[in-house]
Amino acid sequence: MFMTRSEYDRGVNTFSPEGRLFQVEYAIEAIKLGSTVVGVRTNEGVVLAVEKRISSPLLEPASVEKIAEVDSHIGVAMSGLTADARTLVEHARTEAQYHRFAFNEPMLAEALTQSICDLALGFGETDEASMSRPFGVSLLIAAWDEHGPQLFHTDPSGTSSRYDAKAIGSASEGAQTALQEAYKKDMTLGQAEALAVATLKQVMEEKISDTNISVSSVTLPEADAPEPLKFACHYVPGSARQPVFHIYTTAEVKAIMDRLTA
Amino acid sequence: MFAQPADDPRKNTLRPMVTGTSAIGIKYKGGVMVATDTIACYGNWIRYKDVQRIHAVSKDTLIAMNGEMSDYQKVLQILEQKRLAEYCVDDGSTQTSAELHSYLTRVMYQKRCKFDPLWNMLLVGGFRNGEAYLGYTDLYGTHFEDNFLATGLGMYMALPLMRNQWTPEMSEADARALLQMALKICYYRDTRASNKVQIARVDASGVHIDEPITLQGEWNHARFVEGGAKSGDGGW
Amino acid sequence: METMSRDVAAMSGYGASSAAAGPTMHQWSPYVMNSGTVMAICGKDFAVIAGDTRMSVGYQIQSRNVGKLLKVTDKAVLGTGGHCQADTLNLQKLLRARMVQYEHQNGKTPKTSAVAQLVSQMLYGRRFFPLLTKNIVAGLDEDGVGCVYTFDVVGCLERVRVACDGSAEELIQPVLDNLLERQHQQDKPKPPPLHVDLSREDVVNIVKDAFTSAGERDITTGDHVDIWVIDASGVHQEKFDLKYD
Repeated sequence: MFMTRSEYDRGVNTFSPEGRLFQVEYAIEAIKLGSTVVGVRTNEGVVLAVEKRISSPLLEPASVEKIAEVDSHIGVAMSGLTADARTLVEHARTEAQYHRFAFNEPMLAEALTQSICDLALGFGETDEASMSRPFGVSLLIAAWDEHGPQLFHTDPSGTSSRYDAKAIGSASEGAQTALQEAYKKDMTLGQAEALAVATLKQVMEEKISDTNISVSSVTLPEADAPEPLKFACHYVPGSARQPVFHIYTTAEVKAIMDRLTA
Repeated sequence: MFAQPADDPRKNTLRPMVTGTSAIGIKYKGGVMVATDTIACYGNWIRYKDVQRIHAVSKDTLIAMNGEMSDYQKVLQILEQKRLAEYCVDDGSTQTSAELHSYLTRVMYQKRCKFDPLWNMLLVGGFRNGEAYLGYTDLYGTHFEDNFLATGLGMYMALPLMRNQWTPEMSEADARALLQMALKICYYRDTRASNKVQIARVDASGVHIDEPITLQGEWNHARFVEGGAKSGDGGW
Repeated sequence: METMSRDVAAMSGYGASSAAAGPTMHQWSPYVMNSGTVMAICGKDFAVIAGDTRMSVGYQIQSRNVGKLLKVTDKAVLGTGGHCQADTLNLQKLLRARMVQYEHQNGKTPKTSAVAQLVSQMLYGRRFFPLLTKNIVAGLDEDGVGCVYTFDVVGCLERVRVACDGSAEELIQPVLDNLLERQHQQDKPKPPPLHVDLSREDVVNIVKDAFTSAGERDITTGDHVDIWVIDASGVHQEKFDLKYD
């Protein structure tokens, strides 16, 4: 498959005569070796579910972290070279906090996704800080901002798209087909959790358990009754209801799996 | 006097040495006109008796200065660099007076923020596409436009005159007469002003900087001759 | 007389030569006070912000027509009084650039609270060489309620119902406190938490009265007042004449 490409796949800055950047394409291939990640968006929230590959019975499953919180309203799940994702997540966290610092408001999901893509595309630049190669990782970004719940996908080429449901990683083809068949616009969050976990269960090589997957969601919980406001200076913009990103505990994951088998 | 011990902190020029006094400018129907006198003083001494304090900085913009002469020459150099850079681009466009004024203000503000001000108050006059432009900037980076402006002591003596007499319908001759009167008043009262003055204008035909002229003072007014003694307060 | 000639010398740009006893230190101040006043009051669904248009240096009026207000968005206006105009201009230019940048990055116009927070950060960014500017941001918040934010010169930020800053602050603020805030009047009703309890017309009239009164005693407040009313349909600009001395 790659036999004819040897002339133009060395430098990250060199197009092939057909107009392709092979290093970027190879990086996208790296995602197909990664563990499967599924994201489902509903009107009640966004669910992310990932497969953890437990390579040894001696491996502590909790130490495999494939879902990370970026800000209280944004989380990401990763597939591919997850070490590369640390750089992207760190960058995203900084941007999200800077936005709160400068504007006293949570950052929009699309703006945050774009800032991740800016970094992802910055490979091969001459400055010391930038990566010498494309990031070999793909992200699903779950967020709830003033535009509501959203699911974004980014890849090593720095391209981002918004999805209702998306699967990435080694079994993404089968999982995406499964999502396409089962996804409905009016799903509840519970149905989305079930769909995400069921899809993983369907495509995973190992038997699914409450320790070899990880699940998270971003939702908009009901707010506590607000304290009556006495002075304008106590007013906090957007304080009425705040979205929450949450990584499920093992018990919560188990509850979803119990619902599946019931 | 100028030797500074090596261990002293660096000192910027924080007061002007050789100075030009008031610059004044007005818009009139079909152009803008500015005027200054032609001397530069070192304290109370007239150090330079024939200097030009108005210069063209583009084909339709001129500036008139007040304050430190050497800093003004630096300003001219900076604007000349800007003009040359633009000339080299050779795209047929030239900066408007408003743009030059804005640029000059940024230069002045940057220098003041370094505590190394260009000790000047400057008028920027221009005329393009039937629109006259007259702006002010100074050593702090202050920036505004008006129909008539004055700097230095001219603010106290020329500005009130112009406030009384300026109209948007003034002809070039009216403007010239008003500026000459204002310069004369400044000459009467400002010890560092001269009666050898230079008037320049920008109109549809471009920048015109006239040769200096000498204003004739009227020193035989009764009060001038008898002095202030009779009025009891020593002044007139 | 000596004081006056020194003032004139300083104002006219000459070095001051002092005959006062003792050593004279020549130190240049990068600040010049161009003074003037701004004030803002917010109502249930509107905000009013006003600033006079006189620009002065010492006893000299440099211009009668230099405004102090900047429309930042359709729902937020920045007003700067008691200021060094060069610093105000710098703040306004940078703020405008940051607003364009924000719109490109986030695909929306910033909320008034975001504008206020950014102004605060920009002021604090110059903590050790402060911008000599007394700022007020007025507009509508995300619920369409009028809002006013005040700042000190280094960016301390507070949302209030009424604000006044600049040379006539001491003249106007007590009047606003009396008419609108009533925090220390035991028999008077307190205003709602976020805004004053008056109509738009009443508020505009209070603003006009306040500036006219300030103009009676404060020499650096005069000429005209820009009175801008911000409501759901945008920023409505009005000019009100003041003393012209």
